Amino acid sequence: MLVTNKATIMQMAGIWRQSATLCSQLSGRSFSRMSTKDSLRNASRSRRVLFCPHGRPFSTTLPKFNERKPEEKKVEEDLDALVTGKKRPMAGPELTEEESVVFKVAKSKRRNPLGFFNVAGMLIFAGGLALLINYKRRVQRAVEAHKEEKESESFGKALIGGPFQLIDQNGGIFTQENLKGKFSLIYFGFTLCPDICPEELDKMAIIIKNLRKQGIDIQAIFISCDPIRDTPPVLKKYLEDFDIEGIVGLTGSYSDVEACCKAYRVYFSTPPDVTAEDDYIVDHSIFFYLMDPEGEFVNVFGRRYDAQGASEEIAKKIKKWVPAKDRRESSFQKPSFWKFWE
Amino acid sequence: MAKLDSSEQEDTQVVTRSEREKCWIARDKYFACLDKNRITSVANQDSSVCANERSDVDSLCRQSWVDYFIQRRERTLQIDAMKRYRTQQAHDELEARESASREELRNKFVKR
Repeated sequence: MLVTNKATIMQMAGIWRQSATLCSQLSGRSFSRMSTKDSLRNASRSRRVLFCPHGRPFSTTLPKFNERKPEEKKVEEDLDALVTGKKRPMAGPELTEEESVVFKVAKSKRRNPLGFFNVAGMLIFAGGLALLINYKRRVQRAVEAHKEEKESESFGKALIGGPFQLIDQNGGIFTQENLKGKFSLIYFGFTLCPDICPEELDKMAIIIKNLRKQGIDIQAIFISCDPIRDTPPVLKKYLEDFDIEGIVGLTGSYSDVEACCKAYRVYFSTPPDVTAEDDYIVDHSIFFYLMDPEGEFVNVFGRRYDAQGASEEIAKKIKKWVPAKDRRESSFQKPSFWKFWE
Repeated sequence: MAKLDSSEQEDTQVVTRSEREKCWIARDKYFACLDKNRITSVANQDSSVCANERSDVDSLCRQSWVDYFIQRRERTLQIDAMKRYRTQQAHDELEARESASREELRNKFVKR
């Protein structure tokens, strides 16, 4: 911008000087005061004026020289905005539409409080984590269940059970072959038992009833450890007191009973030389023996099982039972990762 | 006292359910009396204590049963007493050990 008019030069010098003063006032620092010479020099070097003080130059009073050029007007507006606080000091010039296309100015956006992450991503991550934890838990449960099953499986020849030959309360012969075809629950006792055998037989009645209600075909067998006093009629009369349908009471000669008790690992204390008139108590082991339809031993239930507990346990065992030919080793089934509801 | 069925049938001794229950009730009464008098061992005691209850029991229950019940009661009481004694011992031992360790800890922090 070539300036030839001296008055204009003077005007601009004044502007320059006053702008410097204003600058120093605004920023609080003191710039070196520009001498007139410097101002003139700057003006003659046709510097573009960035700061334009609000007030009119001191040197000129003519309105003609006080007119603002369009550029200066814009600059003055900017300065107004700066002083009043509408515009930030370091903000770039306001660009027109064309200019903003040419000079791509980054718009200042409000910062996302989550930063790099977003809500959807976090939800997916949390869901995946929950799925993983659930899977691990299910795998652990499956492993424990499989271990338990493996432990409770019985392989090979059973240690309990075996051949025997006894007489039932109606006088008929009963052997281990009569156990086949249905499940059996065997209890060893004697009719002149003070309180334990009646208690256990009442428990047996409840168990048999519960199991038959579930449709399980099971027979109850009472084997006497006191063959000398417990003859078939005695057994028959004794068993009438108990509400067990189809219960079989077994007895026989001393040696037969002894052999049967040995096969079932039952301890009993009746000596062989007592007579029917003797008054004695027989000490014996107190267990229920569950036998399967093949006449093989399944499980034993002691006194710590009450009627409900025993019926549940027996039902569980019966439901899991498979005949020997269909039996095979249980394999571990790995749970599915995706089916978290199983 | 042996319970004999009617003599027409064979020599069968069967104790029916009702007879059993009567025996048990008499037994419970007798044992309640013994507990009240704090008697654990019947054999050494004077037979005048709880004599009525004892006679009831003797009449309603078989003799082997009476002996068995009394023996069992005595055994159970002994076992319970032993259990109580053992738990008390264990508690005392634990208490002693704990207080010893507490003492130790206390002494560590006491400025001597």
